[in-house]
Amino acid sequence: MIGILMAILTGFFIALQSVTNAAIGSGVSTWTTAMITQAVGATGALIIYLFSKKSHVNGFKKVKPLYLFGGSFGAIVVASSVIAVTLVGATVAISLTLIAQLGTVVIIEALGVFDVRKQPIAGMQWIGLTLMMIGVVFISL
Amino acid sequence: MILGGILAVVAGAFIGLQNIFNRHLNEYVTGWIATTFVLITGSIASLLFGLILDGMDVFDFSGMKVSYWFFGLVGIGVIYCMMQAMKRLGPTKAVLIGVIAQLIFSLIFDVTGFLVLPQVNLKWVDILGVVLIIIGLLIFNMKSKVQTNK
Repeated sequence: MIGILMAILTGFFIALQSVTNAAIGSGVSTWTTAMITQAVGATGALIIYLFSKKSHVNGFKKVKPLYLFGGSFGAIVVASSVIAVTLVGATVAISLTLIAQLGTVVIIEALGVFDVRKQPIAGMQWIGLTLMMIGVVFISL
Repeated sequence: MILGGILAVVAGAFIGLQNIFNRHLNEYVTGWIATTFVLITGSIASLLFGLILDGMDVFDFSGMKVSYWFFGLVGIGVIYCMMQAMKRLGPTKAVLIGVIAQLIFSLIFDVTGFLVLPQVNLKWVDILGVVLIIIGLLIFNMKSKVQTNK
């Protein structure tokens, strides 16, 4: 029960975040928005880390250097999302973002790049993504 | 309208890419220190993009309201709840319920014109659209379920 509540709250906060980021973006520039919102988030996460049970930090050295750059994509994610939500509204922006996210992971898996086990795109995934795209078309009508 | 759609797709593509990269990061670094690292690097990258494209205007905070400074903490809510939900339900179920909630709340935000959103009237096609996306997502997930059972 708490698990389901937590999952619902996760969705609530993600939707809320796209709107709060758009709100910040109405006051300052897009890159400033992305910089501030992630800096504040990082500060919060660091404070929680300092007060929580410490996981070992030396693991960073074992990560292939390329994969340390995942976080930096957050700049483009937040900046694009701020403009998208402002232009098309939360529901359409979030739906399209979700489909693109699933599609990208599926393509990366199909190509087997970035040290991901190669697996072809399944029929169910095509059908699912197609239905979702039709859904977005309905919402944007 | 089209630019907004394209940028939403760009955001999603980079989230997908980020998921893959962070998966490799999480093999060795997990928890709040991983979150801190991901967000700090995201913030630094934003600063660099801002400096290159807008110059010193990236430090123009004059339009910031006091409440805006705290909005960044919403992300902490996302991570905390996601960790808890995944621990209790497993990733597949947690993500599925999370996404459904995300769609419903975004629709509520649009319909109420929450914060800076332009208020839109709820139409039947919107609900139909959200239902189609949820069904699509369930079908999309059927494949991964079959695989994990092997």
